[in-house]
This record gives sequence, C-alpha cells and structure tokens, in this order.
Amino acid sequence: MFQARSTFSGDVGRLAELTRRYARFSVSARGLGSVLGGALALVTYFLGALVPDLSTGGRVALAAAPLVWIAVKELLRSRYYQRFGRVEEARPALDRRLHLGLTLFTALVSAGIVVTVLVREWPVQWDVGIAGYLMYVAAMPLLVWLFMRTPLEYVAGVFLVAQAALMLSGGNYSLWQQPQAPIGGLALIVLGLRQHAEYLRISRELESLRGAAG
Amino acid sequence: MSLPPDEPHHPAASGEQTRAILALDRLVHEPARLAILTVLAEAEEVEFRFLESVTGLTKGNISSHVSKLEAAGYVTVAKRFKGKTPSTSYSITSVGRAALESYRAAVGQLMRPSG
Repeated sequence: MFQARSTFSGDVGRLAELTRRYARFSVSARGLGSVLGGALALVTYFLGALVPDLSTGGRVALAAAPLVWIAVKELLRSRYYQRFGRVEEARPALDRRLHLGLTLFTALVSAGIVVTVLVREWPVQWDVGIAGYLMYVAAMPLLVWLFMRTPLEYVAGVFLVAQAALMLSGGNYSLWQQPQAPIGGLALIVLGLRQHAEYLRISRELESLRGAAG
Repeated sequence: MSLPPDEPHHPAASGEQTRAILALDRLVHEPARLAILTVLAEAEEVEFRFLESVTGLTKGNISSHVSKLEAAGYVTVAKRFKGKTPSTSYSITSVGRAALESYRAAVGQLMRPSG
C-alpha cells in the first residue's frame, strides 16, 4: 500500500507492528535488565538465607543490589534497547491501573512499616542500620512507581529492596520466608532472555530498513 | 462490444467511489505523512531518530511533513535537551488519531469489492 517512497519498501502494517514491538523496550520489556534482576533476586535470596553471618562487605553488597539493578537496567534501556531513538510505549489502561494499584499498595505497607518501627523504637537511637532500613522501606513506593512497572519486576524488585533494608539492619530472611522471590527471579530470567532475542530480531529489521534507505 | 458478464458495470457505484476517493483526507493520504502518523499512532511519543530509521525519510522530509501535520493539529512536537544534545519528539493528538482512523476506514471501504 505504501510504495510511493523509494526509501521504504514495506507497508504501513509492518511499520505499525515494528513500532509497537520496539516501543515495548521503553517500559514493559527490559531484556537483559530483567535477566540481571532475576539473577540478583536468586543470588541474594540464597546468599541471604544460607549465609546468615555475612561480613559487613557482603551485607553492603547485598544492600546495593537493587540500586545496581536499577542503574544497569536503565542504562541498558537508554543506551541499548532504545538506540534507534526513544519511543515511549503506549501502555494499555489495565497495565497502568495495575501499576498504580501496586504502587499504592506498596506505599500503604511501607508507611505501616515505617510508623511501626518508629513507634516501637522510640526514642530512636539512630545508626546506619536503622537509618538505612527506614530509608529503603520509605523509598520503596517511589522505586516501584519509577522502575518496577510489570508484575514480575515488582516481585523481584520489591524482594531486592526489602532484602537490602534487612541486610543493613543486620537481619536476613530464612530460606522459605519469601518463596515468591526465586520463582519470580527465575521467571524474569526466562522472560528477559526471550525479550532480548526479540530485540535482536527487531534490531535486524530496523538495520535492514536503514540499509534500504541508504 | 459488450462487457463480460462477470464484470458488471455500475456507473452509480463508480461515481460513489470517485466521490469517496476525492473525499479522502489528503493530509493523511500522502505516503510519507501516512507513514509518520502510523508510527506515531503506535506509541505515546516517538523521537525524531526513530522516525528517520523506520520510515527511511530524510531529515528535511520529516520536518516538512511534520510541520504540515502539526499545523493541522494532528501531531504535537516536543523539543528537549538530553544533556547538551537537543532532541525532538512527536506525539499524535486525538484529532490526528481520529483522522488516521477515518482514513483507514475510508480506504478499507474503497478496497471492498462492490456489488
């Protein structure tokens, strides 16, 4: 149907489909970023549960895991998965509502935890452990809103942040306390690998269009 | 010489088709603009670079067609800075989306075999 331009030999249906698939990599598909999130959720889950007497360095490393994940996946998004130009995905209303619901739920739980800890520990003897714990818990709704936009990202991401908070306060989860984390982590790895393969296909298609345009 | 029996001649239908063709939104009908609107309709916002890659249009072509679409209220343009680099992004408006949809419907109607 669309043949008047010598630089583009496809049709508008292909254009629409390619744009839609590429746009997913701005929000709901994170490819290798998801693989990293899933791997970190798995590693920190078993490390935290099976090695309760972690050194300070080990605890700091686990506490930094969610920040590392967020930084790397955002870098991957902007520098790799959106390298042909930024295209912001038009997300279905249901996805948006689900994300908003998860954020509000997290805000409610976070507020509850922060208030409970402050009341229980009052007058608070501030140290790095309790300050770090409360900071992570208080920041969780914001992190969910900005960086955990799919249910699987939410499961793995919230676990990483909760684990980080606990690590700073000197605690740890027992092995079967958070079973959703390794399951979500594993699912995120599989999904991320499939998304990455899909991105490579999209990338080849875009390169061929660019090549055809000269 | 008569028309073959499997290809009936319907002057009324042909007149309607001509009118339908003439009534097509020419702003959307132009291939480059149709491509631009099609891409924009699939996302919240699209950066210039992607439009360039996916349509194969030149920078000048994109700018000139987008200006026409913007003047008609079909798209909006956002200019920002990423650090020190300027970046231009486009979004389709509800008016533009409606125009694209009615164009698709009209073309679909025309493509349908008549009588």
